[in-house]
Amino acid sequence: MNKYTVLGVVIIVGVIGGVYFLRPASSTTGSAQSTTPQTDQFDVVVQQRKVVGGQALFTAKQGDTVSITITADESDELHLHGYDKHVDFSTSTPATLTFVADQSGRFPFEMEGSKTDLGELDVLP
Amino acid sequence: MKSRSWSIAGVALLPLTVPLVASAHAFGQQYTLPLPLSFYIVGGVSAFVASCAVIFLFSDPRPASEGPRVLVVRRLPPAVAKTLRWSGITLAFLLLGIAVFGSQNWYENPVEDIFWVWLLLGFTYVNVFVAGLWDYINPFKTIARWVGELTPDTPSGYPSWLGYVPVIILFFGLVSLELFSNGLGTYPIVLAGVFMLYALICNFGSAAFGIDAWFYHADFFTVFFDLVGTFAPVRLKETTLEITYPGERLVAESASRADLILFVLFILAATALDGLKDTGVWNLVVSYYLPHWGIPLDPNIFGMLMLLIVPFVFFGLYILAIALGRALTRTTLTLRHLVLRFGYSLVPIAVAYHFAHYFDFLIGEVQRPIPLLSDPLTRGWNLFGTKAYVVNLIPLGADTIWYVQLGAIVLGHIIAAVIAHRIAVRTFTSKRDIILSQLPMLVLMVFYTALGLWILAQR
Repeated sequence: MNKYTVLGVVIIVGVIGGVYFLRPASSTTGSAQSTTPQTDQFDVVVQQRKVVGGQALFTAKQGDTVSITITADESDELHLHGYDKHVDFSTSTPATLTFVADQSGRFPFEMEGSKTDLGELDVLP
Repeated sequence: MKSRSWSIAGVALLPLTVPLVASAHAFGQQYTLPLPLSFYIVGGVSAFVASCAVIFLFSDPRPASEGPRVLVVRRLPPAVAKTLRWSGITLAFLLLGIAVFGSQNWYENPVEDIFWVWLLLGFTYVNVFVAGLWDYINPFKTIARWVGELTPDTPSGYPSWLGYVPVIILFFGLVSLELFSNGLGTYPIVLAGVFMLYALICNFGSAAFGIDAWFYHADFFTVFFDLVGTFAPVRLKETTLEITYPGERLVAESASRADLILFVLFILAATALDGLKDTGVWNLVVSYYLPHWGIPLDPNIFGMLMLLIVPFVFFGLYILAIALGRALTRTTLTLRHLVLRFGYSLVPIAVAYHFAHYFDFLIGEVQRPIPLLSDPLTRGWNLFGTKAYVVNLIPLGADTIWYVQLGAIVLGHIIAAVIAHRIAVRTFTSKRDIILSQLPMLVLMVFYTALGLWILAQR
C-alpha cells in the first residue's frame, strides 16, 4: 500500500473518530437533564469579607436565566466578570443580579470595591 | 553593583513578559472552562498517531540542503522600511504621551492593552506569518541609531560568553515579577517610565557592543519576535523580502547557541506555569504539601523557583532525548551538534501552546483600545468615531475555544514533529537511523503536548 494512502486513511479515521468522540462533550450535558432553559437561583452570603461556607461555585447551562443574590454585612458592588454586570448592595438591602447566561465559560465574581473574590459561575455549553 | 544591575534588569523586564497579562487581575481575566476529558484524550492520541505516521511513513534519507529553499526574493522598496521605521517611532512617542498625560486608570487609557495585548500577544502571532517587521518598527533601535549618529562610538564586539543570557534574565525577572508578585506595575505612567529606562539601557548596550550586536542578542523583543518568526513564510530582512515554505528556516537553520533553545523552553515553561498556578493541583501543593513537608515557602517564591527550575528540567529532557537518539544511532555527530541542530523543532510547540493558552484572553481584550483610542486623553473627543464601541469580552463560547485550543496544540505538535523529522532525514543517512533517532523525540514531544493539554484540562 502506498504510504500516502496509509496517511490519508489515518487522517480520515482520526478526524471522524475525533469528531465522534468530541461530539458528546458539547451536547449531552444538555440532553441529559433538559434542553429547555431554566431559571437558576444562587445565593451568596458574605460576612467579614468571607463567603459563608467557602467560595461559591455555581453551575448553570447556557441559555438559562441566572439570578445571583448577595447578602453582606457591608456596602459594596457585586461585579460579575466577562458578562461585566454590576449591582450595588448595602448592609440593609441585599441585591440580585439577573441575566440570561447566553455565553458559556467560567466567570469569577467579586466585591468590586474591596476586590474580594467571592467565587465563580460556570456556564456550560 | 550587583543589586543595581538586578534592579535595572527587573524594571527593564517589566514590559517584557507575556504571561503577565493573564495574571494581572486588574486588567485581564480568562473565562475559559477547563478542557473536557474527551478533548484531552483526542488531542493526546491524535498527536501521538500523527507523529508516528510522520516517522514511519516518510523516513527516506535526503541530502542535507544548503539553506532554506527561497521561493521568491524581492527587493524591498526603501520607502517601506522607512515607513515602518517612522510608524514605529511615531506610535511609540504618541503612546508615551498618552501614557503620561492620559488617565492612570487602565480601563480609561488605551496604552495598557495596546502594549500588552496588541503588541505582546497580537503582534507575536503576526510574526508566525510575517517575520522581520519588528527590526524596522523597533523604536528602541531607531533611538539607538539617532543617538549613535550624534555621538559615534567605537563598540567592541558582543562578548560571545554572554550569549542570550541577558534576554533570559530579563524574561525571568519580568515573569516572576508579574506572575508571582500579586500583580504590580499596570499603570500607564509606569509603562512610560519603563520605556524610557529600557531605551536608555539599549543605548548603553549599543554604544558598548554595537547596535546590531546588542539588539540581536540582548533585546528581548527582537529575540522573541525573531524566534516566533522562524516559522514564517514571509520574511523581511534589511532590503529584501523573501517568501519560503512555512517552517523552512526551522528545518534549514540550526540554533546558533544552546541558550537560545533554553529561552524557547523558558517561554514554554512560563506559559505552563501561568496555566498551572490557577489549578487545583497547584493550590494543593502550595497550601497542603509544602506545609505538610515542612517547607516554609511563600507561594510566590515557590512560583519563582519553579519558573527557574522547570525550563532547565525541560531542557534536560530535551538533551536526554537527543542523547538517547544519538546512542541508538551510534552516530559520530557530537551531542552539541545534534542539540543545536534539532533545537528549532521545539519552537512550534512553544508558540502553539502559547497561542492556545492566551487565545480566549486575546479575542476579548484586543477590543479594549477600540473605544479608548477615540478619546485617549479623556477629553470627550471622538477621533475615530469608535467611542461608543461596546467591548464584548466573551465573543466566543467555551466550546468554540476548546476546539481552537485543541486544534492549535495538535497542529503545533504535528508541525514540530514534521520539522524534527525533516531535520533527521537530512542528518542521518540510513532509514533505520532516522527512525531510531526520532523515537526519543516523539516521546518528548508527546510529553510536552500532553502536559499542555493536561494543564488546559485542569479545574
